[in-house]
Amino acid sequence: MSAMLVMLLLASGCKDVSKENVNLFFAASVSAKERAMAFRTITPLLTAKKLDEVPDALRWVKLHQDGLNAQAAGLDNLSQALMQRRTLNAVTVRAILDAADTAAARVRGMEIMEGHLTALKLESQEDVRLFLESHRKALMCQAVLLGDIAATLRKAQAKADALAAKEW
Amino acid sequence: MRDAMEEHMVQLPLLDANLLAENMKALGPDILAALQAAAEAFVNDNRQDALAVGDENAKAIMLNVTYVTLPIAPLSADASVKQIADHEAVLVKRDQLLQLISQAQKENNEHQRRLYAAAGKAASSVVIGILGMTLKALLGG
Repeated sequence: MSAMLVMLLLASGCKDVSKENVNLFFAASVSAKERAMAFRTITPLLTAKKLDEVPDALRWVKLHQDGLNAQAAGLDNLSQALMQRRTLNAVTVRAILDAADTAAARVRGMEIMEGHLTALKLESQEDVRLFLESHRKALMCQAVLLGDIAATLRKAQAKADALAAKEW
Repeated sequence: MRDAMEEHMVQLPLLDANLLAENMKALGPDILAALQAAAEAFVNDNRQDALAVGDENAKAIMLNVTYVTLPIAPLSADASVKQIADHEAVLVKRDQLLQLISQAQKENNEHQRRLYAAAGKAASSVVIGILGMTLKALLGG
């Protein structure tokens, strides 16, 4: 699988993006920013006391924030890029497909982490529990949205490949 | 080569960049060449569209491409906090790659837009020039 990925990375050329898809990118960018911001506001509650006893949980909080920030910045870049011109390089398309997998994996991590954090009985326990639940659901929506974008890009790619094969 | 890749996959450290660089050396020439080719393809792909990707960015992209070539390890329902944090660390690297590549794409598209706008301006001034000459001729100037 990895060898195939490297081969895909080696492919070059530009892909046109539909107007509808540009809107999806914009929506994904806005919701990613919102997620990063929401998690930042709850961090003081998560890291207050108790969590110091579980260094890996503290590490997770920081990593989770870093990941959300990077995802938001990446999607913002894409949204802005597509407002300038509706084309994407092949390498970028590949990175977007990977980002959709990343988002799905983050939901999985969140699902399990939610149980650990709830079990720690942090301060303002009920607020934390409610936040984690809504955060997980929002991450799931984000993953679904990125999955939709990835599916559209894959479909366009398959169409272009079929057309190229015909021309050959 | 595929076998070699799969054999090395699980041995990659997840967090430390220096450790990763050392391990990359140990990956063997085939995989390193493939990774380097992937990074170079990215640079060339963008250079074609007149985008300059700096050496540092190219290095960062190459390093992060390594994480993307690794499959994301599935988490079991009873995963420990440490395992989830390690898992999250890989996801961060993957999103940072998206950030680097999309930044280049943004600069690329902005540059293209400027080129098109300049070409459009030049074309319209030619059109206006021709219109002017035609008018002049019609008016007998």
